[in-house]
Amino acid sequence: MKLDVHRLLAEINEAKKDPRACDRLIEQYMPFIRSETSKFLKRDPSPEDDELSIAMFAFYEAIRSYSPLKGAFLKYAALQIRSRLIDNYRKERRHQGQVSLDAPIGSEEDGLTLMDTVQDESRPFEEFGVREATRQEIAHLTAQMEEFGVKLTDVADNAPQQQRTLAACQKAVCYARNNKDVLDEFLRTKRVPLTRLAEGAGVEKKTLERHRRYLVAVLLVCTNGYEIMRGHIMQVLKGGEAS
Amino acid sequence: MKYMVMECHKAYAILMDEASQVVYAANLHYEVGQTVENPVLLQEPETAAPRISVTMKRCIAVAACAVLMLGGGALYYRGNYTPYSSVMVCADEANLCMEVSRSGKVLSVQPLNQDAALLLSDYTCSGKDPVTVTSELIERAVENGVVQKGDTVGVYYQKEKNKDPEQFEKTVEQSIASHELQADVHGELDQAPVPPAAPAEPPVAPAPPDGKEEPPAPPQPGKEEPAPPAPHDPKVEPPAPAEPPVKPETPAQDPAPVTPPEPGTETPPEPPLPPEAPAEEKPAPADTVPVPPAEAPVKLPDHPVQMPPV
Repeated sequence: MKLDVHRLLAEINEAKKDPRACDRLIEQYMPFIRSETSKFLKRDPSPEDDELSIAMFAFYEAIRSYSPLKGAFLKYAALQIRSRLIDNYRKERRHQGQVSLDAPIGSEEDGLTLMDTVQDESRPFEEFGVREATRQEIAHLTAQMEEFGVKLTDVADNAPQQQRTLAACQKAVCYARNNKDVLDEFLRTKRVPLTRLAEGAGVEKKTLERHRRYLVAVLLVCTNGYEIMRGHIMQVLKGGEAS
Repeated sequence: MKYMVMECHKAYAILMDEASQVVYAANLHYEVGQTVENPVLLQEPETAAPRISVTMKRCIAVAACAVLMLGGGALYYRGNYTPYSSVMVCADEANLCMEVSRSGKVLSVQPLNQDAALLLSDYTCSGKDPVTVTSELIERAVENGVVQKGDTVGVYYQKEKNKDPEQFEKTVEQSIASHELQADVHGELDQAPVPPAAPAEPPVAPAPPDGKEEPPAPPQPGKEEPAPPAPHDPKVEPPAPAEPPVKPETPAQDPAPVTPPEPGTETPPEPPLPPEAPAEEKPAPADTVPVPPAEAPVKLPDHPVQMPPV
């Protein structure tokens, strides 16, 4: 029993550092996550249920925030899952007066739903094309980031949380975009020119240092070849403040 | 706010918003490259405050208890053992003053004259309220004959420091009236009669001008004192004073003439004159001891010199 606890602690600590280990741990504890979700739903969750996805995400949050001072991990994770599901239930309850597009109309034998009667204005083929192009851009970006020794999970962990810090990083990115030689130096040396960015943008070098991995990702997006992503983060490229 | 799905994992997805912020979110069946709205974002655990050790907690608890006890004790002491107001009782010839605490208890009774001191002998006032003390002291005064029936007893107190002045006045008046005396209660201590002050000490008489020498001045730094004469040389006299003795200041009176000596008596020798300083003598160097010139010893008169009457 004691060995199991120590092994679980070791797995949690590894999962905090390695995303693949985290995925493995979540896969290992899927029966537990399903069990907790079924306790809330009062039925077995299907793989399509959002509740199961949210329960898995809550389990992931529990892995990230767990420490032995918080008691047994599984109890802590169960509490996290239940809290998340309750939050989601309260959020979804606001839309209770609305009719679902999947609601059946007519007799059940017809199998018609409300969705079938609504004119679809979307263009699925165009959307599919854009999504595919975006996927390729992201794959290319991820590969290029690997050359800098940066992963997307690192970027997410290293992204600025406060608006003031985000604004400082955006200033530096704008300065780099307006000075092509800075971007060239960045691509050539594969190092973020922190000193030039800090002096040019008028921000603290320490602030940029703390978010170097985040800057790598955004500066790469600013280089040629990432049109869709550049269009997505237009606020930065226009030099506007984050809302 | 729109989010672009950058990476999908089993339990979570990595999204990038329009402000270039990269976040974790629940993977609600997302695909990479998809643009989503209203995702379930990761709730970052709040940075926990630094934990306080058990020892520190105990110290804080002990310190808090000590502060509470000291504060409570200070408040209790202030309310019960520090004088807050005064009540003065003037019963004919016995005046006394009571010091009263905030809680309305008499702390001490001070006699203001001799009769009051007699009244207060063997009397304890601790823990009693001013009305009780007043009543008991008036009873003593009646027994000792300090006040007679029908006399007026004045009570002066600080109205602004009394919680219920009307009740106090009423109770005091009833208490005094029970001894068949008349009560005169005032709410202002300033109206109390001032007790007679003790007789002032006579001024110190000036020293009589008896011609005695003033005490020698303390030696001043930097000046060398003359060395005492050598004991083996009897001829050497002590050095003459630099200045004649200061004559005591007396009222302006004309000095009476010296009575002439009667005929037939010996002519008294003249009083010794102060030896004159050598006129041409150069001042001695600072490092040498001045030695007075050798002279014949002055012969003192055999009888006292008759001083002129003042």
